[in-house]
Amino acid sequence: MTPVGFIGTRMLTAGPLGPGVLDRQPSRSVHDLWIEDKVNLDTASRPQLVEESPVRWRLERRDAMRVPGLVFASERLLPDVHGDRSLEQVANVATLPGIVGASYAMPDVHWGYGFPIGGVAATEVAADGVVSPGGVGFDISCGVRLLAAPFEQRELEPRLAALMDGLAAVIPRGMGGGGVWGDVDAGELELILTGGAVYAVSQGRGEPEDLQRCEDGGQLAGADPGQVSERACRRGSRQVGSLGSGNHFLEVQIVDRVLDEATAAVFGLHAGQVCVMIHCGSRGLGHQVCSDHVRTMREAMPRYGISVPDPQLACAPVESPEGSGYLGALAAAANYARANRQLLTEATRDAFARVTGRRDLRLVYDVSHNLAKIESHTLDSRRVRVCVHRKGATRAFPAGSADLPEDLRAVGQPVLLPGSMGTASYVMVGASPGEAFASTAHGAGRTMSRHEAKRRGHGGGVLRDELAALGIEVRAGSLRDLPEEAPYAYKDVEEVVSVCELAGLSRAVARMRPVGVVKG
Amino acid sequence: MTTTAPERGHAIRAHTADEILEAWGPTREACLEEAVLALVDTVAAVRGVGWSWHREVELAGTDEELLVALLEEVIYHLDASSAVPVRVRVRPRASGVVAHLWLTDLQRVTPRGPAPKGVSYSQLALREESPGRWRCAATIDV
Repeated sequence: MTPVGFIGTRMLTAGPLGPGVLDRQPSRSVHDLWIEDKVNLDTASRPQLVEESPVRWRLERRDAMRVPGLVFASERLLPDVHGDRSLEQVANVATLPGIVGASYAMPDVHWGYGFPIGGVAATEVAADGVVSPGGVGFDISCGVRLLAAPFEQRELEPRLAALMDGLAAVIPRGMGGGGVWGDVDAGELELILTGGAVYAVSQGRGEPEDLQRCEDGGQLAGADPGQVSERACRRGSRQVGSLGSGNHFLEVQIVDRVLDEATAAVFGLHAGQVCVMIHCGSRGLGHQVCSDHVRTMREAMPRYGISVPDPQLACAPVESPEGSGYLGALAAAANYARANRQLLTEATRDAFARVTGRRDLRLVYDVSHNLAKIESHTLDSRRVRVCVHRKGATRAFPAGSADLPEDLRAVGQPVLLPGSMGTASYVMVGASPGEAFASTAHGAGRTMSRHEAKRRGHGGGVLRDELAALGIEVRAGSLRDLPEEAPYAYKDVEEVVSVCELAGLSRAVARMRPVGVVKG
Repeated sequence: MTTTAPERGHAIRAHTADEILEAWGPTREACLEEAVLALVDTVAAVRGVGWSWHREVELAGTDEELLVALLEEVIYHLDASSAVPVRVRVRPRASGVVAHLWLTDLQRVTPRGPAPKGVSYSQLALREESPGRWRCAATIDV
């Protein structure tokens, strides 16, 4: 057996299960990939994991790591060393110039590229800290918003099927072009890139109150459309107001259980209430922004004397032409994402109005989980300006944060944590003092490839019928691909939430139960 | 697979959240063509579907940069014109390659799988393993 790392005093092994080896579902080994012979698989160089508490594990500093790694996970949620290389990615992120604190992994961490998904890293701007497009990912400002309806499940039940048909008809989704706003011209696209949800509302698509419950008021400052390439604009011009595909969704949910009455009341949530959760991002425009700026930074790195262990970690100092160029493009793409979710919100309200006669769905909150932002945090008793990368991680400001609107400041920022399709989602709130630069998980986190998920399932029709038996109406663009998002392909969201609480990242406010799903 | 694989071909490998494409062929250009076919395989069944229009694009750079640029070209057409290649030809040029893509509208094919977002530089490779045996791999965010 080959040692691959330590957990506390216990050694993990790469062979069959033995003493001290975590018992979890085997996943397909990465070791049969041809590409593996190109990358470093020297097991002796793998990071060592030391247990600090049952939900907190430290990757000791070694080699080029500038800070340690810090993994928030229970034993069961720890990445599977046989098939998931996210711990190596946590160690790689720890080598970024200017990184401070630690390279963090959230409870739903899993293998990505460059950064792990569920990774958080902050770089100190004044210390030549870098920004890395790979620390945000392709889907810039991908995020979640939650709408609360003014009625309860019993009022919706007789009309649920009609509502789902109505939503399926008005929510553009799937591959290619097609959005609520059709083909927008260059002038209007520029207004979207600078105005975000604020622009959508100014065009009559939403209420001014919506913006009060959006991160950054629905408009991220500093957008520079000049840093968004023509190709990016062409990819995004016909997708404004669309879900996309993959794990993006729109769900009709019921507040199943309120876990923190006082905070839920501030958020405007009560048991039995009908809600809608929307998960999507910046579509092809954001994806192209990432591709373009990774390329730019790969070329620029030698000029700054930067080398990274993984090319997808390409980066440049925040205060460099390449760094500020990317941040300007990122803000523009983020605004596209916020306008996108705002338009889908209005399409949802329209569908509700037609079927239920009520369109007054109130926005609870809209928050991204793929973003890099310049924030001020206290580190070792000093206030520092840092570029916080959250890739598959959610900002979770605690109570008292000056960046929150007044009505939320007393309780903290709402965090929206979707489960996998057919399972519960959670509304949480940022916990004091704001661990990991005030960040928490972003969802259940995949454990299984899409191919494996399809192989294990019995087809989309069976899955749809199984969900229907649980009272969940599914409207899928492709039944064939539905099993890719089956619950068994994801971690247990209940455990993710539990670890978030035990680790002090965020607190649960309400548990949400799906009754309808619209997917690409 | 390394000793019994046909002269050219492609495969999709499992990755927790993404797709890993692998392709091989007797020349760099054949390998690139197979990489395009692998990517197309993840998004649509195109066998037997005729093409509607043709695009020619010249790409320059290192071998790996050519691989990224060519796959990004396919992803670009999916979003910008809702089109997917049904045929591809890649020919060498002094500074890189010229790629011919014969495209059709997505509505004429059966889409499958999530839409690709971009090509990661992590675990990216295109190289000649032995004389006349080229191989490449790329991770696609979906």
